[in-house]
Amino acid sequence: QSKKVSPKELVMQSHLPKIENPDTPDKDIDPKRRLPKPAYEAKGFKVPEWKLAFGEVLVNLFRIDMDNVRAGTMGGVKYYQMCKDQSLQFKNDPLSETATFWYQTLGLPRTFGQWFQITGLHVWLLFVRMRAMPFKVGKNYQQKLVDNFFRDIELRLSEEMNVLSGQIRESYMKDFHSQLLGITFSYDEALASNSDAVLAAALWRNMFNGDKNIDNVKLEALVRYVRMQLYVLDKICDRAFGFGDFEFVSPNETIDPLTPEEEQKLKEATHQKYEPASGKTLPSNRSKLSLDE
Amino acid sequence: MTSSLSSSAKKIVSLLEKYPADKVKHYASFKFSQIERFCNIGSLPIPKKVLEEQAIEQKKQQKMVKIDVKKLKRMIFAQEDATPDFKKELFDTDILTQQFKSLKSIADNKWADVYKVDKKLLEPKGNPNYYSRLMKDINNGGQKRESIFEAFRTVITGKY
Repeated sequence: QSKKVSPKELVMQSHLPKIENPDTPDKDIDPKRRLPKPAYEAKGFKVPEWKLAFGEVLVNLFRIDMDNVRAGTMGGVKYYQMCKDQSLQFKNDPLSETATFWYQTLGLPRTFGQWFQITGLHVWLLFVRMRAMPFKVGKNYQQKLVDNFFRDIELRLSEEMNVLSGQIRESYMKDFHSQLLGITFSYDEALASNSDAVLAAALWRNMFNGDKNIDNVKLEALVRYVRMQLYVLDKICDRAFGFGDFEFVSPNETIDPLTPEEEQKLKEATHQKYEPASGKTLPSNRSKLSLDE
Repeated sequence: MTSSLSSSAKKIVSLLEKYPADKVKHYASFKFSQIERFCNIGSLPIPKKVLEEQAIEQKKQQKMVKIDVKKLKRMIFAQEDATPDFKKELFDTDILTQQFKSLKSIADNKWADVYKVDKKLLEPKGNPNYYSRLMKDINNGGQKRESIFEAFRTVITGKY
């Protein structure tokens, strides 16, 4: 029965009141300095029909490798947007559903560094899946994701955090780089040793800033959250993942492990979607990625 | 009341003792900091075995970590740092049982078992040796250098 409880509900069950950590005060970002959202991130954004048709002709004419193109559009842009939107927050702004979980339910400090840690966790989750793609493609996806991540950090540092000196920005970027290496290393260690205790320690160090007064129920909820995402990433096939059909499971949702029949159904549905028995696929939908694993 | 509090804290401490120690040394250790905390809450002495283990770990850590944060802190802030405030008054047996339950399910690998990940992620086809090589390095303590041939292989193929 406990499988039915989402990470958020799990935290809600804890009776321990929040213990403030004086070392990590909130530092909200002024909404006046907010970066404008690019047009393609707007809801209901659509590319005009003629542009799409023109694109198809180009792809067909020059035999463009779409897996290579998709690394930028999906791996770089779409997946990065998903990671960063998890915990973006501004002063006096209503928090998004996921951000509420991170900042209110878990009680993490509202700072730029914390935003980086949360985004880093999700970037790592995607890294794990990208490694399981064919080497060349996966590396490309990873590269585009990291490129976008650091381009965005630099922009946010200069605009939202108001760091005007390029030299200081550079040194911060180097710091964030080594932090990302640390994040990747410690979570990879936890995944490879297949131990919740190691994962919990890594999450405690990174997400909870090594807080001594941590509520362990929150830690368990986060361990559960990470395991849940890894499970979904494990079940999705290369093709669907490469086409950007993956979404992070929301912290107030829960998933049940699939039965073999359900897995079979999922496989059939993916085949149906990407390579229907009847009808051709558009030139832009061509891909060499596997449908079965 | 106090005796039941200390007995539940004792249960947590003995559970935490079974947690694995960090293979790579970091500035803070989850295991030892939590043992210290729950010993303080239950007004228990820190077990001798743990203290000995911690001393060995700290010696290893000093070799690996270049910047000693505690020493720097002492240099900047003149006053001796007091024992951290664990907010003892907030705890009762009910909360301690909850904390125990969570720590227990972490120790039992509960969620790793529920959401089992198979070979696809653990031996990724793009980079099949990635995790085994990483674990080999970690088990060596991250101190041993790999041979020049392996290094060349990494540089040329790009695979870890």
